[in-house]
Amino acid sequence: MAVAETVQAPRGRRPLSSARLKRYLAGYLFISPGILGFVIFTAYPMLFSAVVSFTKYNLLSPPSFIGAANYDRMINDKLFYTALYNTAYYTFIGVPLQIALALLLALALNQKLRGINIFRTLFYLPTVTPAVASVILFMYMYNPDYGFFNYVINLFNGPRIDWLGDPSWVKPAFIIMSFWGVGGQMVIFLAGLQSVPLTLQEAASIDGAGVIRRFWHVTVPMITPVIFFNLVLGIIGSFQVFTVAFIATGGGPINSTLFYVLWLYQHAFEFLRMGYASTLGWVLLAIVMFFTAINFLVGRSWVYYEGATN
Amino acid sequence: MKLKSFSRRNFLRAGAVAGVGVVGLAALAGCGEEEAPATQATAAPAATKAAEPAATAMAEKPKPAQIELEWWHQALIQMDDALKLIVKDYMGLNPHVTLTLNQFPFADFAAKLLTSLAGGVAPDVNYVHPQFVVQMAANGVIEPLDEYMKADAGFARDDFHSGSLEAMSYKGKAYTVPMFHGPWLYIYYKPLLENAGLELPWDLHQKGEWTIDAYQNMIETLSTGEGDERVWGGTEVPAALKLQYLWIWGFGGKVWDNRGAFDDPNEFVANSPEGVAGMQWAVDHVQQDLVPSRSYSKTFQGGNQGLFVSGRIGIYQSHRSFTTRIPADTPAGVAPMFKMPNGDDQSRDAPEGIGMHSATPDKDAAWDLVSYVGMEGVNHVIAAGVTAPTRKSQMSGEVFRNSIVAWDNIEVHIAASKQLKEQFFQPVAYGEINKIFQANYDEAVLGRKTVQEFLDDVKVEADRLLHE
Amino acid sequence: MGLATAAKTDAIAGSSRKHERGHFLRLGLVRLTDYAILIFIGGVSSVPLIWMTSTSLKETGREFVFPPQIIPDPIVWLNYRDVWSVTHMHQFGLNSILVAVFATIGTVLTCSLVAFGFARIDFPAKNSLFFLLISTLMLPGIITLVPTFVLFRLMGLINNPLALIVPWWFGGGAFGAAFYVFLMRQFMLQLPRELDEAALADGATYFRIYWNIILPLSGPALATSAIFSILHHWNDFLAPLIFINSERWRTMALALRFFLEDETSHGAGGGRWNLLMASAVLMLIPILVLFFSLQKYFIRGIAFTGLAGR
Repeated sequence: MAVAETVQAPRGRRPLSSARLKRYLAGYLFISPGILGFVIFTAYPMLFSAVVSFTKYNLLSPPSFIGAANYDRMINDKLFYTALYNTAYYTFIGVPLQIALALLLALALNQKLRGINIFRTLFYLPTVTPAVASVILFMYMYNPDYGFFNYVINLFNGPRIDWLGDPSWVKPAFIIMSFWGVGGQMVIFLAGLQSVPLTLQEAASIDGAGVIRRFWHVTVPMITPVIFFNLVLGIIGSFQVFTVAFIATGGGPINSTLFYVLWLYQHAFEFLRMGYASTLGWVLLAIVMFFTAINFLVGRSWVYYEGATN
Repeated sequence: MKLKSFSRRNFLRAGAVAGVGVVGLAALAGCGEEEAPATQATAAPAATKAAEPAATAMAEKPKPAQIELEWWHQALIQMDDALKLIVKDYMGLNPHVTLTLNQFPFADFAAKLLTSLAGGVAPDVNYVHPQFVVQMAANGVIEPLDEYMKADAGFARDDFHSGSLEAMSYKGKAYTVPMFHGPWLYIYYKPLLENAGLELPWDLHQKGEWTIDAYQNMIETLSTGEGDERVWGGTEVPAALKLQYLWIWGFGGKVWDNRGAFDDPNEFVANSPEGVAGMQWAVDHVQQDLVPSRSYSKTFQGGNQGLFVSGRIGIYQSHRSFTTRIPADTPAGVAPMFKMPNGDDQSRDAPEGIGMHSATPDKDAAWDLVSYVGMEGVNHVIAAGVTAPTRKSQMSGEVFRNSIVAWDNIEVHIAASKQLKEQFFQPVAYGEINKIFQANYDEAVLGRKTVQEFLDDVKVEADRLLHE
Repeated sequence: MGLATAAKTDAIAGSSRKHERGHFLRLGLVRLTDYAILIFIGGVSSVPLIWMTSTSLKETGREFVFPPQIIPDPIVWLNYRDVWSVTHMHQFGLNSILVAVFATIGTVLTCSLVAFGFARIDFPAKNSLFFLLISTLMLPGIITLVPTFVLFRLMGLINNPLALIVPWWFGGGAFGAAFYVFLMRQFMLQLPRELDEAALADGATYFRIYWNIILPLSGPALATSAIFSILHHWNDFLAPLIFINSERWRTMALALRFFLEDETSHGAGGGRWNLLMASAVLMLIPILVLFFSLQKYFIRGIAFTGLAGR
């Protein structure tokens, strides 16, 4: 309510600059809960972990400063590169496919059909299933003899694949598993599609545009903000993939599912190297921030905001 | 614009609720802040020191005679009732003690305990995992218990299975009292063995003929069939060094060198010819498909246990807690560990126990609880079928006898417990060495490395980590 | 009047289509294939629920035998009674509901304020501050657990259910809540700028614009955020694990973890799967009901946008 009072103040001598000042003030007031939250709950833990990344810290006795030794260790750590490769593989192959699939599903659900609510709920089912349960289910679907996937492959006389036992198949297996969780992205797309004004669709339809042209020229431009959102957060989230490997493989076979955050977790709570874990964490932040920044820069050229100012 | 007013009303309603919520939350949070220990000026995570304010607060209760104890345990759902019964019994016997038991899931206990210790909150008594006993002892987080054991007339130290207290010792001092005991057992599916004309392992054991050759012969004979008829002779032991060491030992090798003390290894020496022979045997029986591979059993619904109950596994390597999970009407039998090439039938324990925090304000009260749990309380855990008796005298006791399933055999458990001798030591760097061991083991099983290369490569990394 | 507007646009759409009979027939065929696709994907999506329910009704030790049984024999309904009492579902469930509801109210309210500030008002350092909030999503939470724990202890939030709620009242500044700010910002950027400009010209305050114009038009974004937030708190076990000690405030998601077993336990898949799945089913149902009933807010969003946008 304070915002309302400030902005309502009588106009000053220089209306333009005072309006601007009020706008700035209103802007800062609106975002203040977030900034306050950052200062109270996040700034100290972030700072602390940054400092700890220059220490040896086993959680049981106070950290001791060791300079950049953890960063040295990382550069010489073969498994750091393995974990980074595994994670990048999972992210850069998985995320685009997830987004495409989520969009297709959302399009299928964005229709006026009787009972569509039931289908929406059904499509969302895999996403709300507790992760533990769905990982366990998927492990069984990957059984070489009785699993669903090999059953289908067998119908086409394909090879018998040892999905979780063969280091070269286990990452693709995990990516396929990740499709199971696209319900979240699907719902976001659905919400985005719901915001595409029907009148626009109608206008294009009357102009004789086909389904595919309408999709590319009307629908897609209108939902670029949500595509962008799913892309940015897909990459951020995917770089932190953890649960599936934690439950299904523990990083094996031969470290082929040793994902970055799993490796970090093991250092923190199994090897008691919180200092090195913090180093890994901050390097991950730098890597993900790099890709996010690229996304934001490139995004300027393809993301269309109806209400953007410039 | 009626639409908007409708929606606004909804939002106003939500806002009002939220507003009340915020005020409530703020008030509660405020109270919390006042209660927070003011003495803790710095947030530096000095675990042992930081624990004191919380502990002092605990001791400064209005009624000094009343003692409050907090016990944290790593839990399984099967153990839930048992642990709660222990608390109930203990508080019944000690009305002046308020005992709070907090359990945390198996997979997450380390993260929970370590974060809390680092953050300055510690329970008086807690579960200790073998992987962390050395770290906790070396950093002074848990209290050595020998003096308390000596002073406590009710604590029968010698009654514990040989080696089980030592397993959780560091530099000659015992840090926990065992709450878990699980020597290896071989559970077999009788009809499969009988149809193949094989003598039962328990009978062989009694004649002294239950050897690694007998076992090898058995799993080779039993591994038959294709597709839905497929039967595997045995099971693969998980690829953890703390389990696989038995093959290294059994073939006459060692994992750590003997130059230093038992609990201060200098070197990883399993790449000796004996160690290689042991791991070669382990890798071979996986490669020869005599056991379902680890990835296979994980992807089979119910794992090895599901395969076993369906009659698809001949001999299932396991321990006590799994005997109570295999249905009582299964045509199963059980035998202890077989004799290894070195003539020994050394088995492996999986000791876990509880210890007390070194900063607990009333150490005598904490010890009393630890002692009670180790001597009496553990009976509830035995009755729940989670562990074999941790003490020799319990082996023939009523509690254990009543908890045994129909096909099980108490004599086997007694024999299995006697097979425990030396303990495997897990040094500070064990966790990391084990990860390297696992990855290399996988490479050997997949034929990408010879066993010699596998153990040589582990040695390079392990020796570096041991000296770090 | 949202429904009336939607009906009206529908009617327009309908009348333009009814011109040709052939078109109408073709529409019927399209509908049929639509349903076929929807039913297929819906079927695949229901696999986890069917499988979980089936497992949850099996006898202990015989959860998974070969050949697999879809309908268990015998059906053990008692599993549900067991799981209800073993996990104190009445209490843990209530805790979960309490946390999810209060944290979600805070998230939606405060994050929408912050998102409005970022999406609709221009002020200096806006982009940097936004990027700062987003960057909190990139640092793995594992390495900030210890300092966060210390901070919470000083605030008296350890073993206090407020630890699971309060940080979510700070508009995306703590934990992963920046996700919601980003999501809402994307939707708010989509609304035409003229809305604000007209209102400002009429002398409206920013708060009025937020409250009377932007919020009512952000239905899909708010509904999506609410469902994501509820789902997050419903399934999150990490915060309850770390910040709560006593059983009094344990949540269902954490209770579910008690059924898991260590990988090195010799069963290669121990755990009480039947009870784990029974509790997973019990956790799934309320979320499904909620999702099903929240859907009308997605739909209402179209009507608003359709009306105001064009």
